[in-house]
Amino acid sequence: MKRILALVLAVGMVAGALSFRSRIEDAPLAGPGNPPGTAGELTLTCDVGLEDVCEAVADEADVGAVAEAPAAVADRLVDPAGEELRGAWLTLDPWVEVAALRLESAGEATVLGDGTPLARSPLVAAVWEERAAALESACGTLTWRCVGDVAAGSWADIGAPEAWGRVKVGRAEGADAAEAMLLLGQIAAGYAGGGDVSRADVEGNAFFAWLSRLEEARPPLPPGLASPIEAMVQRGESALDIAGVLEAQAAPFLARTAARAPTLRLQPIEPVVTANLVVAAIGDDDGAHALAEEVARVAPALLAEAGWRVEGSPDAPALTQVGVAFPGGLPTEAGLPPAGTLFVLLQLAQEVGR
Amino acid sequence: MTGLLRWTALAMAGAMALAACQGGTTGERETGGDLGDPGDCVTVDMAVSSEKIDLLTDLAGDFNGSDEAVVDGECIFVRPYSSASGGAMTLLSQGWPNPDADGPAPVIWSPAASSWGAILNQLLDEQGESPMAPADARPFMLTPLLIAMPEPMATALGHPDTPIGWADVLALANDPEGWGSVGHPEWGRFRLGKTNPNFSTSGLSALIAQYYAATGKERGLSTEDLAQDEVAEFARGVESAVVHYGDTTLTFLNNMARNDARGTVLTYASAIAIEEVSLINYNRGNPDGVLEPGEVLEEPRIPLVGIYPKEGTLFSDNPFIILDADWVSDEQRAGARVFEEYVQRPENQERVLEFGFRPGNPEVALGPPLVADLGVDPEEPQTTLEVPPPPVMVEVLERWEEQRKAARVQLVMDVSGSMADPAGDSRETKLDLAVQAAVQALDQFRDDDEVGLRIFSTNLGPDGQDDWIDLVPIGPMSENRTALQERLEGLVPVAGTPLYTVTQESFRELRADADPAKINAVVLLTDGRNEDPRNDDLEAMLRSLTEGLEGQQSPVRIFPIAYGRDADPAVLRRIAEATDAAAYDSSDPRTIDQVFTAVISNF
Repeated sequence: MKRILALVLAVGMVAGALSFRSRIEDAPLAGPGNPPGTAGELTLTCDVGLEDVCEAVADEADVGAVAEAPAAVADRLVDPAGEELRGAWLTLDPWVEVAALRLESAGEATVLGDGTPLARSPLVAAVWEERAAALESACGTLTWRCVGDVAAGSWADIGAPEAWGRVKVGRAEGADAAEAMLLLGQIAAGYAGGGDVSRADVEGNAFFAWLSRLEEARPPLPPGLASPIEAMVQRGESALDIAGVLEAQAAPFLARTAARAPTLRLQPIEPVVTANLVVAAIGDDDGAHALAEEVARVAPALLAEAGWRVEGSPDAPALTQVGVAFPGGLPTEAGLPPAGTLFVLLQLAQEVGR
Repeated sequence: MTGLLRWTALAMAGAMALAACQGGTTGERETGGDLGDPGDCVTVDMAVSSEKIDLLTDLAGDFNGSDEAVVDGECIFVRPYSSASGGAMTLLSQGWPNPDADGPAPVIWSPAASSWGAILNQLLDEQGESPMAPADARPFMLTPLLIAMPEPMATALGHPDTPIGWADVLALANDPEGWGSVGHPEWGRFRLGKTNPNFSTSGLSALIAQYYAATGKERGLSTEDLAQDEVAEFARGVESAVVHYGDTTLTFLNNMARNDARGTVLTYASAIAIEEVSLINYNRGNPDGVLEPGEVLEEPRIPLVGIYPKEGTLFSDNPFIILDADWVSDEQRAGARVFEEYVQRPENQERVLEFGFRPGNPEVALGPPLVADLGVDPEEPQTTLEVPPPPVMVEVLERWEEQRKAARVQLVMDVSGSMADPAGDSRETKLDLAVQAAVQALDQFRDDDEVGLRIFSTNLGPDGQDDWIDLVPIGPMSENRTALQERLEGLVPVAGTPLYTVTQESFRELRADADPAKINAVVLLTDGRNEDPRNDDLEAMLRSLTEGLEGQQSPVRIFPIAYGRDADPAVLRRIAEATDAAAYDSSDPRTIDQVFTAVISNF
């Protein structure tokens, strides 16, 4: 039976590849002497952190691949003097929508296809066991509202040992982190009590003050380290007490490093929010659409292996080992505020940081 | 001179002096061992801070010649050498101007902490040049700064149940009862060992941590914070407890070990600000961290325990910086990356751990020797403090110059006949160079430091009967500075060397008139051996020093400088040890200005 399935799969892949080839045969391809990202070429652009999957898919599709922060991709799309982008974009939802909104407000024609969902991953908390217990003891369930309320205060204020110092809260940050905007959305949803958060809600003084306190509790990443969970594992509790992370990125790392940080856990933090990974065509020609379809065909299996949750695919060993269990399953909806609100949140966080 | 430039100049002098004190000469670099001839391989020179030279030499030794040391078909040969962080930073900021003297310009630079890379870039920026140290250089081993205390003292403060920090240090330092306030009057006053932040990464980290503790912040330390009166008061309070400063924590650790052996460790220093790795080495019985062939490790009778300050601390993170410098070729850069990947491998990171550092690679678990039995706690610290931006660090150092403990110092200069000998190949005499160095070192004293000048030789005085003369009595530098310079510049060589007598008498007099609010010290420069038959009993002289130290609330330290080839470093080291100080080696007279700088770093 397995052999038959494998044969069917192989035939399907070959057929898919042939179909894809025939549709892009006239398109210029990246290759030696023709590096990816050059104007007019078909290129697969992926979020930073997805390099391995991106390269594997690009190899399969025989196109070039680049890893680039979604905000930078959006900037390039909006810049009328910028080079033409063409191909497919593998990114977190709603970055495609954010870019489309920016194009629209700049009076540019939208060249982005609709994002096709490929995989999901919940936004979860990386937290030390004892500290999670202390937070739950103070707040009941672990929620962003609770974390924000105690952030930057002393652990002793909620009955935890004074030796723990102040409550240090991290989250993915920096221009490269596609999930940073989504985490801010989750945090805002936590403050408001749900994903139905408007721009007006996040632009109010009360939220600004609350977010400021949360940001005050966020130490900068140590030099040379790329993510909060890396800082937590390398430097222990001194780096952070709790951090908002994307499970698909954090779980494989934590599985590799569990011996160094045996009491560091991934666990749900409310409201439950999932990041959806989508692929969208950039450009309205056949080649771009064909590439996006090819990515949609090839990527899910690779993403599942990398730690993403993919419908119908088994979870990666890292997820089984250290991933978060959602007994009732992940909610159908992402649970995030609208794209426009998320973009405002990103700007707001930058303002608070200044 | 801007603060940053002045600081880098001091760091440079300190680094060179350290090399000189360790027995080298200026510009001579210490390697951890002979790695052999690189042949036709791509040579990758690596400047590393001294505490990790043995480790990196081991790793390079295994790497070189292996199948892995290859890039694009060419073999790679890595050559680590020891270069103090501040000194290397200064040389890099100057474009590594003198490879003949300072060794080949490095491809890889690994200072003790990333902050040195930030300062280098700041300095280059001020010069209108591009940054050289990429900000994303990865750390490959870490060690936090901590306050090391003899175990009974830490216990008396409530360790491990009670969190302890810099505020507690301040409270004890300011308490007139000292240790009596916690039921141990027999331990006397609280005494803190802390290195000079211009020279030592530990000293700089401790100073930054102090300021954070004073402000109650964990990040965002600003120049405005430093200007607050209460912050300055806090800093002065902590500094008031300092035994003396110095260029390296090894001075304190060696003195602790010696005092431990003679049962007086609890009255030498109550606490010292050192890195975790140094504490591990001390408790292993290897205070200097270097295991000489045949050396037998002897664990201390009273171990030190690590207090991770409750206000937070800083890590020395040992970044692996592949320099963006114009002398680095693409092949060397590629070779450096291959070696970095090798160093970060779990099996090699296990070796990092064996040396007492925390591995940079998070895939490697912490384990022995990072264990409670050796006085450390791998689950600490609880808070990492942010490294301030370079302009704030410069301000930190400038404030320290104002707030550090003042000194009361007797400069004792040998003017015996041998000081008229030429200093090496130049026409200048040894005395000429010593005078120039002493005059230059006067700039390091603050106006409220008290300094005097005594010269010694036989046949001095109006009747030719004196062994020494006080040319400038000890007094505030605000009054003495000009006189000291003039009298130094007028020195001439005379006759013999009554070393023991002048040592003993200078110690006795300063002790009789010691100021508890100051660091009381004798700086003793001599180029010879005792030549005084009236007082030639070394053991008796040393005994008088040791006995003179007992029970002293304001102990006098003697910092001897062995100057020229004819000095007796062994005797001078014993004099230093008898007063819990450190001896300095300037056997090459050309190094005397750097050595003087290092000696004065104790104040």
